[in-house]
Amino acid sequence: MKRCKHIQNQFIEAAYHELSPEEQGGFDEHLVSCSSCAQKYQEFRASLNKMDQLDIPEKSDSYWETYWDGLVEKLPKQGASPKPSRKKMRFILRQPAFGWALGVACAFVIGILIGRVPWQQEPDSLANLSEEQIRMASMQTEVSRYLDRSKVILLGITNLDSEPVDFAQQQAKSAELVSEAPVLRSKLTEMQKPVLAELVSQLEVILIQIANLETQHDVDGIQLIQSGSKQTALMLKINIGEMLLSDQDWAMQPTPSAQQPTI
Amino acid sequence: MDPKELVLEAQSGNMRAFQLLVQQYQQEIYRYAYTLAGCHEEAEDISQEVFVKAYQSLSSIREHEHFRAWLYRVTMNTWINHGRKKGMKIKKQQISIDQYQGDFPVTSDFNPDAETEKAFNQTRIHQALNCLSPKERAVFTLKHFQDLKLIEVAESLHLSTGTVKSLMFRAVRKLQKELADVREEWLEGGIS
Repeated sequence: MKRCKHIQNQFIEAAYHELSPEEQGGFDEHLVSCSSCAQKYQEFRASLNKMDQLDIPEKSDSYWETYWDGLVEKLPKQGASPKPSRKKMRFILRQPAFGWALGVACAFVIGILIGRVPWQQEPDSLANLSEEQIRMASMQTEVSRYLDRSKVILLGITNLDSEPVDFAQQQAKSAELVSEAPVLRSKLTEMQKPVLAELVSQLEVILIQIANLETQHDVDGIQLIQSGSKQTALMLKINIGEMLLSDQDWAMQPTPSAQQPTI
Repeated sequence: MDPKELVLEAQSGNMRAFQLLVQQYQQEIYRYAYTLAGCHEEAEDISQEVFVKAYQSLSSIREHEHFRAWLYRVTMNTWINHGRKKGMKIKKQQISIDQYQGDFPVTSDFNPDAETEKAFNQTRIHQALNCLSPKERAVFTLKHFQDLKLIEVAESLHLSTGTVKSLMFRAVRKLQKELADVREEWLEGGIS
């Protein structure tokens, strides 16, 4: 029985000729003496043979001759092209040392913010606030709420183990957030908040995936979301986004005084 | 020229080297995109997008020796993103026989019955592939249609060989189930 399991585990290598001569010898020998494994292997091969029937039509030579010309038109212009800063940022964000440095910096900034709050001067009165400042403050609340809700959903997914869970509620909330994203993003872009606009875009991609999960058993879909979220360091970015929002000046400044960093 | 050298040349700004890289891999990337997407238009879009991304990422590519594997990975990710952008589940794509009518040229020995059956079988294969999860499909098509070794599939998709095997087993089991009822007519149909 143990031997059968071992042999069945070699079906893929056997079907694709990836067994060593010795392994192949043992494999063939077992199939001769075990009709159950022989039958299973035959069925396995039959399925692969059926897939061989897939017709993958070749493109004509003329298509490939003009392929490069068509591609060149789509390539970004020289100079602006090969080094997008986002790629660099992603590379930097993946470095462990960067994580530590960022952690220390975050703690430092949070410390300063905590220290500032008690002495923060409140505006003289609401009447003194400009329309723009009120709009910014309202936007701040809206974005903060959006990030909070996204964070709860993401935490639920990323901390999930292999047990099946009913996602209906999270999916409905994800769909709701997805529908809100375009408006929020355009407002943020208009208000020159590119970091937060980019964060909303990235969240939108993951939220679409969550909203599209088929059932509570869609383990692959969940794994894909978990790895996507991990790779893009979304939770960290949300935390950074929240830090940007928690800065009192954010709402009080009609336009940013300095270019924000990219996430 | 060796692909590794071409990548290094392209990174230094040599456009001709990048062109040679594209020409070297364009057909296999298109083929992989086709087996993932199941239609020409999307395969064309995906393959072009892959090379545009390759061009944009040239400077950050560290895997000079594994450029091909890198391209496969980008192809898979681009396909998944296409599915996301369309706001639908990749596995829920609907394939109709009509979609395949154009793939069969009408010649003097054109046999409508055989061609219809062939189109039907093609549809069944595509439907069976659509039942796979994106990861299963990415692994299965890379292994079966691109003829990569298990270790190459693992390297291309940044997975362990054990995971690749497990995904392959799951994929084949699903395909077996999906194509089980067409077995008889398949054999009798004599399509080779």
